[in-house]
Amino acid sequence: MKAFGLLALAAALGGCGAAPVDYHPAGEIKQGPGLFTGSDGAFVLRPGQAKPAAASSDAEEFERWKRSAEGSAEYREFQDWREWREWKRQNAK
Amino acid sequence: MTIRIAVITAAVGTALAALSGQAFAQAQGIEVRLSGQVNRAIMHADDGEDSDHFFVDNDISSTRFRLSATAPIMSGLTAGAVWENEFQSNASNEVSMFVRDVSPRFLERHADIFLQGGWGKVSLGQGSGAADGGIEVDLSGTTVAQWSGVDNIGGAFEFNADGLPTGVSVSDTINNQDFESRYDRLRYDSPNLGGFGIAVSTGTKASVDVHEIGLTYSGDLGGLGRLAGALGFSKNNTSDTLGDDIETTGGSISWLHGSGFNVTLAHSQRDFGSLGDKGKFTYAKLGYKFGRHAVSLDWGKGEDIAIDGVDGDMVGVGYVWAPAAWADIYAAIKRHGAEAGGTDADNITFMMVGTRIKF
Repeated sequence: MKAFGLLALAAALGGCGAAPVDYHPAGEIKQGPGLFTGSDGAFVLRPGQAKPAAASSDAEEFERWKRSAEGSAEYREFQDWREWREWKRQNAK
Repeated sequence: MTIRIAVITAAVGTALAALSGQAFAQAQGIEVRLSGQVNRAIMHADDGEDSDHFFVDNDISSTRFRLSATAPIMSGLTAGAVWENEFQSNASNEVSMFVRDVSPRFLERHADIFLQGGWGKVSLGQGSGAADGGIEVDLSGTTVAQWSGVDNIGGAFEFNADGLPTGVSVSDTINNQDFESRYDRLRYDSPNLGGFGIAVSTGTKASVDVHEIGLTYSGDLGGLGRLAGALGFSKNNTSDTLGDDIETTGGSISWLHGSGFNVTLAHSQRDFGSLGDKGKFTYAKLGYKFGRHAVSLDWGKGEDIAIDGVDGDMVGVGYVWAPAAWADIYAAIKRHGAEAGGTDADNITFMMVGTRIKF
């Protein structure tokens, strides 16, 4: 029962001006980095982030090509094709 | 030809961006984590008649792996699952002078799903009861070498008296009676309220209904350091099978001063009602942390823990060096004693050196 009294006293003292902090149970797997897992401390899979990254690389590659090819014969040919496609859409039978 | 390549690139890029945008909306926030640790040690034991060495898995924080996943369901509501198992070869609380090798077993620790929001957390499945760990709060930094679970190291060793085994093990004389540990249960945890948290759980363990309540505290006292503590109560509804319920009450508190000096106290009582005397456990630890090192002295006493009239005590020294955040190298020495009816058994001395690696 002494431990209860001490806990109640300490908690009351602590409650007066203490900032709450997380306590990690001592017997559980340690928090923080791991030997193979680096700073994450775990092998982490985030499906919501992996796919946009792969997709955006294709889109970004197209954007990069547009910027780098601008003014080239290849780019002008592409623009001609887009204009022809637009003309055809507007003059459809 | 070049036009066709450019068109295909643009079309594929646009389509992938659109599709992945949709997938992203569905999968956003999902996180799956795989982590674990290996904790191995060499242990030497001397029971007064024999001495031997053992290659053990330290049961204070056993070799295990953990798979967890969380995902938001809607604003303010998160769902998750935890699956954790241990795999110990020669668990340090199972080897003895008679059994030096114990076949490894794959044992469940957590198989748990939960929902969490601003209102708290509800868990369902195999996992910690509301009061689990209430006798084990410890800020010393030496817990992997020594803590209130004093029978996690050498718990199966039998005491000798007059040159003969007594049939009484270390665990029979002293253990921290840390409530009901893990079992299949429904548990509610309140949100953190200024460092305080309260939890309740109900479930079944060994075919018996179990109910628990736990109160925890953890706070930073600024210049006075850090303080953590817990109180708990558990009720084991054994009245139908054994004739009376078993109730456990207890708590622990640990204070770590900014200088590195630390104190830890723990106490528990298990009331067996008409089934036997009340089992009592008391534990104290004094420690000092400096840099990546931590050292401590501990003492414990058990009264009527498993057998009426049989008491035990222990005293030990522990040291932990954490050369990296993922590694602990540790050493511990301790001595256990037992007494029954005014007769002392031979002391058992343990020495252990080991390492815990988180991967």
